[in-house]
Amino acid sequence: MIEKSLFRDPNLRLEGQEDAPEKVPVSTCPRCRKNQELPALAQGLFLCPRCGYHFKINARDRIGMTLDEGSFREMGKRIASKDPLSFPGYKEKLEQARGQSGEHEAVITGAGSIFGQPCAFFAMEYQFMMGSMGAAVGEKLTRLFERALERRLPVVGYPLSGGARVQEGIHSLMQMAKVSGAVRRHADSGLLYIAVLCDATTGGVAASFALQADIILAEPGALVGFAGPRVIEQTTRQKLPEGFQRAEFQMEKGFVGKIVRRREQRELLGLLLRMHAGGPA
Amino acid sequence: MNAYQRVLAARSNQRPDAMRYINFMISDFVELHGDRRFADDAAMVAGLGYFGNRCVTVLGLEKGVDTPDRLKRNFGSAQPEGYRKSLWHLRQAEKFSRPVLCFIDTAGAACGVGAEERGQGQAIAENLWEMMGLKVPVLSVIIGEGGSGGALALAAANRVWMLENAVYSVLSPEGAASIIYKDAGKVLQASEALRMSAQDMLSFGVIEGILPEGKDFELALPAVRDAFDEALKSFERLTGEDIRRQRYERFRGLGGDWT
Amino acid sequence: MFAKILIANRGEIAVRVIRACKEMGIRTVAVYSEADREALHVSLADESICVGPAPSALSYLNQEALLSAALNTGCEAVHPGYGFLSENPGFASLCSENGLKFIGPSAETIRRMGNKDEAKRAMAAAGVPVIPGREDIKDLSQAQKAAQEIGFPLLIKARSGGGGRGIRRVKGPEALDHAFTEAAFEAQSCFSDPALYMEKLLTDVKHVEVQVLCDSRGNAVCFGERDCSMQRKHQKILEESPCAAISPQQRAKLMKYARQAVRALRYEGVGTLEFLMDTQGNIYFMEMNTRLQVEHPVTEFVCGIDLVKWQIRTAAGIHLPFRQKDISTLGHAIECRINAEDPAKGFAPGGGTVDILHIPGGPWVRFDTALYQGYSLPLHYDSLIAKLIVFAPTRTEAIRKMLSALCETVIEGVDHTALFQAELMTDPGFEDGSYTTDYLASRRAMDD
Repeated sequence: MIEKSLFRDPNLRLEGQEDAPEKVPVSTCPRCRKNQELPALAQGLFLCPRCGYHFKINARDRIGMTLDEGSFREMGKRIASKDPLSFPGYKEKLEQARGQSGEHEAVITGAGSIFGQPCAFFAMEYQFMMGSMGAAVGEKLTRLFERALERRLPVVGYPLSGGARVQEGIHSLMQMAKVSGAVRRHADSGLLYIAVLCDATTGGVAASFALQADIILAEPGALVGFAGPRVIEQTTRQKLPEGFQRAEFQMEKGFVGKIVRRREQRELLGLLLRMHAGGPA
Repeated sequence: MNAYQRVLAARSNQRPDAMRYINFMISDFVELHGDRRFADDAAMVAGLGYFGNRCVTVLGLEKGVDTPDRLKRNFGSAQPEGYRKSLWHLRQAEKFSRPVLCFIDTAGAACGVGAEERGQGQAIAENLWEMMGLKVPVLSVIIGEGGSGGALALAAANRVWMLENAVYSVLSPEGAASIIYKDAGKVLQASEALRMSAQDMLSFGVIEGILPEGKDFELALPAVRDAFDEALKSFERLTGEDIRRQRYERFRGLGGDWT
Repeated sequence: MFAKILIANRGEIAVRVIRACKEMGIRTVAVYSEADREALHVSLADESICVGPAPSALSYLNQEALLSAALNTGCEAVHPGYGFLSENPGFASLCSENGLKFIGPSAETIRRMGNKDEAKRAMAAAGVPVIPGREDIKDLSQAQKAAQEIGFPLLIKARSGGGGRGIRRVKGPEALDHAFTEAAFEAQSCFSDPALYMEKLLTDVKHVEVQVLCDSRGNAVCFGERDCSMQRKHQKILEESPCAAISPQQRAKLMKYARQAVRALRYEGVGTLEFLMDTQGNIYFMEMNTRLQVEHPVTEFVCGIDLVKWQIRTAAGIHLPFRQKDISTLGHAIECRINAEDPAKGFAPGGGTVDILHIPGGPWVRFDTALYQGYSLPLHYDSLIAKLIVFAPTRTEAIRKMLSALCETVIEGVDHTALFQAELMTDPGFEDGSYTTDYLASRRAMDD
C-alpha cells in the first residue's frame, strides 16, 4: 500500500472560518501554565515536557501510541447516531463533532496487538461531544465485547467520557445496562478486560463498563467520578478538597488499581496481556 | 397534562412509596440492613419475603413518608452503601435461586463528596454487572421517578413496568434545561425533548407495560402485584440460562438498529 | 495540417506537444539522447530517433542530427518546445531552408527579439514603454552621461552577455567608474564583444507577462496576463493568472502594449511579452519570448484554450476563428513548478529513481510531467520534473486547491520542491498577492 505518511496534511482553515482568530498552534499546560508547541508535543506522547502533565489526546493518537504499529483493524466504523429523539439541535451538534474530531462517533473500536499479544481495543474520543455515550457508542462497545468473546480476545480499553449523551435521552441510559451485559458475558467466559481510565471519565460511562474491568488502571491526574465536580460543588455548596476525584484520590479510596504514566502504559499492558495468556514468563 | 406537569405528578408526595407496595404484596417481609462494608443506607430497602407462595428478594428505593423519614432516607437518593446493600441481596438471590422484585422511586443517586469518595460510580457499575449475570428473574417497576443511573442500578431487569404517570430519564428536565438550553426556566421544553413519559418508554421498548394508577392510586398496588405475578409464572418455565439470555437480548436491542 | 511533426525537445514539454499532436491526428517523431532512452516522450511518440550522447550540445542542440532525423522520417514540421533551439534563428532558418516548417515565428523575428537592443528599439518604435536605458556605451564619459539620464540604481550589461555574466549593479554615482571598467573587461574577455548597455535597475517589481497568439493574417489575440514574480535567482518558481496586484486600467494597458507590439512585428504563432511593473505602477517592456513557455497551462485554464494545438494550427496556416473581443478570462489558475532540487541544500539539483509516484487529481487539477514510477532521472538536463496547475473560480479557492494537491503529490526517491511550494502557498507575501521579484531573496534572508 502507499504509506499514509507520504501524504501531507494541507492543514487548511475551515472554509467559512478563515477570518476566525488564528488558532494558536500552542497549548498551555493546564498544570504548570507553560506554553508548549503542539507539533513538539505531538513528537512525544502529548506530555508537558516541563511538568509531565498528561494532555488529553484523541483516540487515533491513542491507538497509534498503544498498539503495535500497523496492527489495528477498525470495526464498526459505520455505526453512527440516528438521533432517536429528534432532539432539537442534535443533528447540528453531530455535524460539528464530526468536523471537529474527524471521527463518526465518540469511540473507536477494533482489534490489534500489543507487543505481539492480540487484543480487542477501544479508545474514546473527547473531541466528539466530550466522549458522551449514546446508542451508537453503546452499540460499538457491545459489539466489541461480543466479538472479543467470539474470538477469545482480551479487551483493552481507554474509557473517557462526560457521561451519557443527553440528546439521546433514555436510549443513552439503556446503553449502560446493554454494554454491562456484554462485559459480563465476556468476563464469565474467563477473558481479561483491562481499562485505562483517562481524563475525564465520568457519569454513565464511569458507572458502567469503565469500572467493570478486571484491572483498572488510570493515567496520572485523570478525573474519575460519577457526578462532575461542578455539580457536586453546586449541590453541596462546599469547596472540594484538593485532588478530589483525581486518579490518585480514587486509588487512595480503593477504586483504581494502579496509576500508569503514558510512557509506561504500552509495556505494562503488554506484560499484563502476556501474564493472562498463559505460557511461561 | 403537559410533559413537565407529568414530571411533577411523578414526584408528588401523594404517591405511594416503596414500603407501601412492599407491605401490600409481600408477606413475612424480613428487612435486612447494611452493606457489610461501610454502613446502612436508609434510602435502599432490602430483604426477603413471600410473594404469594414464592420466596423473593425485595429491593426498593424509598423516598420516605413524612419529613423526618424523608431526611433519614435522603429522599430516595442512595449512597454507594445503598447500592452495595442491594448488591449483597442480588448475590443472595442468585445463591438461593430467588426472583428479585424492585420498586424504584428516586430522583437519582446521591451526589456529594462522600458519595464520590465511596465510589458511587463503581457501586452502580457493579450492580449493573451483577444484574446482567443473574440467572433468576428480575422484575422492576418505576413507581414514581426513574432518575437516571441511580434508577437503572435496580432496573437492569427481565421486565420493567412504569406506573402511568411515572417518568424515566437520563437527566432531570432541570438538568437538561441548564445544560442544553442554558436556561433553567426551559423545563417544559426539556421535558418534551427528553421524552420521559411511560408512553414514550413503551414506544421505545424500554418498558414492557404501563400500569394504571387510578384517581387515588387505588389501582396501582394491585396492578403491580398482578403484573409481577403473571411475569413470574411465565419465567417459571425458563431455565436460568434462558432468563439470563432474555435479559441480555432485552437490552441488546435498545437504542437503535444498525444491522 | 502537418501529417508528421518532429518534436525537438524532451521531458514534459515533449510529452505535451506529442499529446496535442495525437489529438490532431498528427504522427509524431521523438528525439532522444542516450541518457533519455527510457524517457516517457520516447514511448509516447509514434517513432523515435536517438540523436546523440547525453550532453545537450551533442544531442538536443545538435542541429544537424535533428534535421536529419526530421527529413529521414518524412516530417513536415519541427516543434522546438521551449529552451534548447526554440529561440535559435539559425535553426529556424535551417528548417525552412530544408522544407520543414519551424513551428514558431520567422527566423528574422526570432533574431530581432533575441537581441536585447533591437528588441527594445522595436518596442519603443511600436509605442511600448521600455526600461530607461542607453545602449552601445563605449567609454566612461558616455556611461556617466547615460547614468544621468537613467538615474540610479542602474545596471551595466554586456550586450552579448548571458547567464549572469557581464552584469554589474551600480547603486550610486560613486560606484559607476569602477563598475563600468570591470564590466567592459568582462565583456571583452567572456563574449569577445566589449559593447555594453546601461539600464535602470528596477527593484521590487512585478514580473507580468502577456500571452499572445497570432495567425498569418495578422489576427492577434492576447490571452490575459500571468504574474511570474515569484522567482529564485531569476528563475520562475510559480506563476498565476490573473495577476492579483494590478488594476483593470493597468491590465488594459498591458494588453494594449502587447497588441501594439505583435502588430508592429507582424508576429505569427504563440509568444509572450514580458513586462516589469514597479511600485509606482509604471510598466516597462523587458523582453519577448518567441516561443511556447513553461507556464502556458495557466493561460490554458483561465481562457479555456489549448495553446499548443493553436500554435500548430497557425503554423499550418489555419486562421484563428476568434478575435480579441471573443476572448474572456474566467476564474484563477496557479502553476507550481516542481524541480528535482533539495530546498534544504540550497536547491542543489539531484537525481534518483522515482520509487513511488502518486500524482494528484480531481476537478481542474492538472499535472504535466514526464515522470513515471521506476523512472531514473538523468542528471544532464534542467531540473524541472513536473508542473502542477490548478484552476478554481477564485484565487482563494485556487490556493487551497494547489495546497491540497501539493500535499497529495508523492515523488519518492527524488528530492523535490513540492513541499517548499506548499509552504509558499501559505506565505503572507504570497497570499496577499503583493510579492515581487525580490520576495524570495528577502524571505530567505529573514530565515537566516
